[in-house]
Amino acid sequence: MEKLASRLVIGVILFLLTACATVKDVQRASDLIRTDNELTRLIVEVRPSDPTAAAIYLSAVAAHAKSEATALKGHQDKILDAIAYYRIAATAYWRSGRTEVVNDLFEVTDNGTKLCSDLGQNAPDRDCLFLQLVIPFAGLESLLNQTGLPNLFKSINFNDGIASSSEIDTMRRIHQTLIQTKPLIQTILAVGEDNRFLSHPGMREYYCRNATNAVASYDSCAGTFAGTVRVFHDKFPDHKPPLGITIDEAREIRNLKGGVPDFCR
Amino acid sequence: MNPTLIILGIQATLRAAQAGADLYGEHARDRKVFLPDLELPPGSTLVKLQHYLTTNSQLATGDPNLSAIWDEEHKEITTTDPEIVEAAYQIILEHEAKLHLVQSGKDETSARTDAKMIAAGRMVEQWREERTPPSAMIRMALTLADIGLEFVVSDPSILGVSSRGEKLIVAFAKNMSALIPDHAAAFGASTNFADRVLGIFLRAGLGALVSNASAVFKDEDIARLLKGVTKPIVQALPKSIEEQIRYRDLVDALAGPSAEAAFRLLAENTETYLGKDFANDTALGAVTSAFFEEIQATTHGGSIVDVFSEQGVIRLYQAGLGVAMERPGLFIGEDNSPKIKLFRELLSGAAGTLRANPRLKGPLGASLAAMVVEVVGNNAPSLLRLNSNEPWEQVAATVLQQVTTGLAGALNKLDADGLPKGAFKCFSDGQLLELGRVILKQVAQTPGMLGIKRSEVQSIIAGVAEAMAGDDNLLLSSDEWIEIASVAAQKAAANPGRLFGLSADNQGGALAVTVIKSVLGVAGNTWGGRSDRRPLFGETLESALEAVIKALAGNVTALAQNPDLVEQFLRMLLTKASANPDKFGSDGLMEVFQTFIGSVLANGSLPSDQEINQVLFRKGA
Repeated sequence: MEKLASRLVIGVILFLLTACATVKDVQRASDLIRTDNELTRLIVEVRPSDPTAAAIYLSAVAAHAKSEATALKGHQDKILDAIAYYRIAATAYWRSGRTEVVNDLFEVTDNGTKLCSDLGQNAPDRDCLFLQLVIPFAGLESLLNQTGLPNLFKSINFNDGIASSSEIDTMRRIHQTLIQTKPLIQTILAVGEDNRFLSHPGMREYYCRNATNAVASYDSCAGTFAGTVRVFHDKFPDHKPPLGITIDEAREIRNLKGGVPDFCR
Repeated sequence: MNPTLIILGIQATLRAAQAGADLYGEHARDRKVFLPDLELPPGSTLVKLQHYLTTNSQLATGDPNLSAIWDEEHKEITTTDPEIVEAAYQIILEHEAKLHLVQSGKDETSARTDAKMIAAGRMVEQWREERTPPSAMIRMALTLADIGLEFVVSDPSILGVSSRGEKLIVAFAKNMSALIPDHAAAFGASTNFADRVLGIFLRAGLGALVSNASAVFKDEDIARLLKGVTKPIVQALPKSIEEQIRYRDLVDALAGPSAEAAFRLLAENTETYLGKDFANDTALGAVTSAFFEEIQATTHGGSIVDVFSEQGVIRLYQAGLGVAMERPGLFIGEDNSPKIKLFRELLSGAAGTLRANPRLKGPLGASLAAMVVEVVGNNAPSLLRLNSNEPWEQVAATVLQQVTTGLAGALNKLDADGLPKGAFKCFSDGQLLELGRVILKQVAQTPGMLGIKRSEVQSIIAGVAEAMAGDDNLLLSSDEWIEIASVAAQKAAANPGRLFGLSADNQGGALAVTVIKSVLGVAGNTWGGRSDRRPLFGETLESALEAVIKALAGNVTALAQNPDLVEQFLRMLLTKASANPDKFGSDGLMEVFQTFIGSVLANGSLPSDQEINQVLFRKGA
């Protein structure tokens, strides 16, 4: 009788443990959905009208997602959830636009990408592809916005026969910025070599749109730069004042390896 | 997706709750999520010009103003002069404007909805195409599993291996494809809605199992239910967003109770007629389509829900389903198509009748209407045999009109205090309903009384109501009046036109009403409260009225000549009882009354003392 009772108690405990685990799993799934929805709401509805408040809220969402991901990443059966939270955290840190969270952005992206890599072919398509893109995307945005690269050309006109020191300095700054930007663009293009895009229309469309925009933005600046260097050399054949950049060097910066994948065309 | 796999998946889910949670987790991870787009700063005019000419070589080389500043070989602009750059950019803007004019754009309204999100990013699903399951089926399977899990937690007993609950969920899984149209692409916005409605029905089904330990639902029953009841609700989803919002609100409020009503009927059906097929999905579909179409319709500034209340419309829907199960042929046309218009007209007709009698609006009126639908619907074959030119739904509408008018006539007559007269003062809505029910029950046994041009039902109800309104001293309780009404209806049904006449307008002069009133008059005149030991009230009075009503169905030659005969007889007995209290108790009084009332009405002669004594002594012996 005692034996039977103890078996029953063990059975009940096991049932309760299972039930608790189930409830927790369901709660976590609900939290994932809620966090994702909140992220979308902040980006789509709050950020356009109140970017300051959105940045604060997005940082909070990112911190929550990061802590959830950190708690889950060690559990083999929860890795997919951890990756989803890392994707949310990376998106939120990126879109918060705050320089002080750059390290966090790198941390969550690295951790998420590592988990994706461990899963190999079983890695979730969208989340893992996105995690590869978020750092070059964030870097490109940050660089172009901070330097104001596409607008730097406004202050340059060598056709007037004058090459001021300010214009020469600006040309050199543009040159440096393009050198820094090029590897980011190359990284974005390298992600496009992943075969998963071929059979994932949603992710393919997302990638192509953004990769095309990134390349177009870069190429426009690099092309304008090459044209401007050429005008400089036409107007100032004696290289006085010295620019220090040849036409070939300028044109070389513009060249990208590979270009936008064929599936985007 | 192989349906068998889905079913196996759901079974496994139910058998292991953890698996269900995993499935939900999978849904959370794999659903479409928003991925933001890059936000790159716009460039200077020179940069924009560079971009445009790079990507539009034809324009760059074709327009002389542009080709003058463009090196096609190196794809470079050959000037930095702001004036020239601005002029070139103007050419591009004009070119773009022309392109916009010739392109057919998305209309403004539909574009506005997506504009914000499109501007900021895209919704992207998790998996590649070859790894993506068909969304509609999977969503519904997930819903079934989710709901199953709810019940695992709340009532594990119904969801064990091969349990009734598991079988029900499997039946849903097997048949849920009925909700998906042949052209799945046309499902569109209905996908989520269908998923929700399916969930509502499964919950109702599992709820029915929990509340009814003997209920078992067969695969075929669920197939018919999904096709006949669930599918019409999904199909009725309007196209425009505004109407959809309203319809979804209505469905939120009514689909759950509707599903419960359907399962209740199904459970009763399987219990009562074990093995009998559960109706016909075309008939069920006709009732359901009519119901969900009609609740959206607005007449006289309101819908039928405003007239009957939510609870009331569900009662009506259940009545319709009941008739559809019992007599499916009534809702199916000759070409096997569902007769949706029929039940819609019945609903709108009933609403119209009750609008005209506000005292009976709400659940009371709906229940009355439901009873009429059941009575007339179930007697429809007899009615059609009697008069094939009278559609049963029109007969039902007429009967409802007669019942409500008969009752409303009495209810609307108020005393000085603004209260209904006589016995109606104490009638609750439930008792009013019961009054209608007992009369309809009796009427149903004589289908010949039901007809568009017949008025017996109204005559009976109005007559009984008139008599009840005369009980100013409240000598009888409401329940006793209901008993009397039942007897009166039974006798009136057996003797059409005799007890309550055929004129609904002059019920005061009808035979039964005159007699009942005279009995009440006698009882009232001698009434001084129970302490006076007057025996004619309550149970005794009820027996006297029942006896006299039954006697009215016999020979009433003398009564016809002397309408005061019953009153005289009763007064004589009461006088004797008062003078000889030891000899007459209430039982004795009734014994004598019941023994002689038939002969009194027939030949008018009151019993002698000797005859009375014989009855009393016989009783005593």
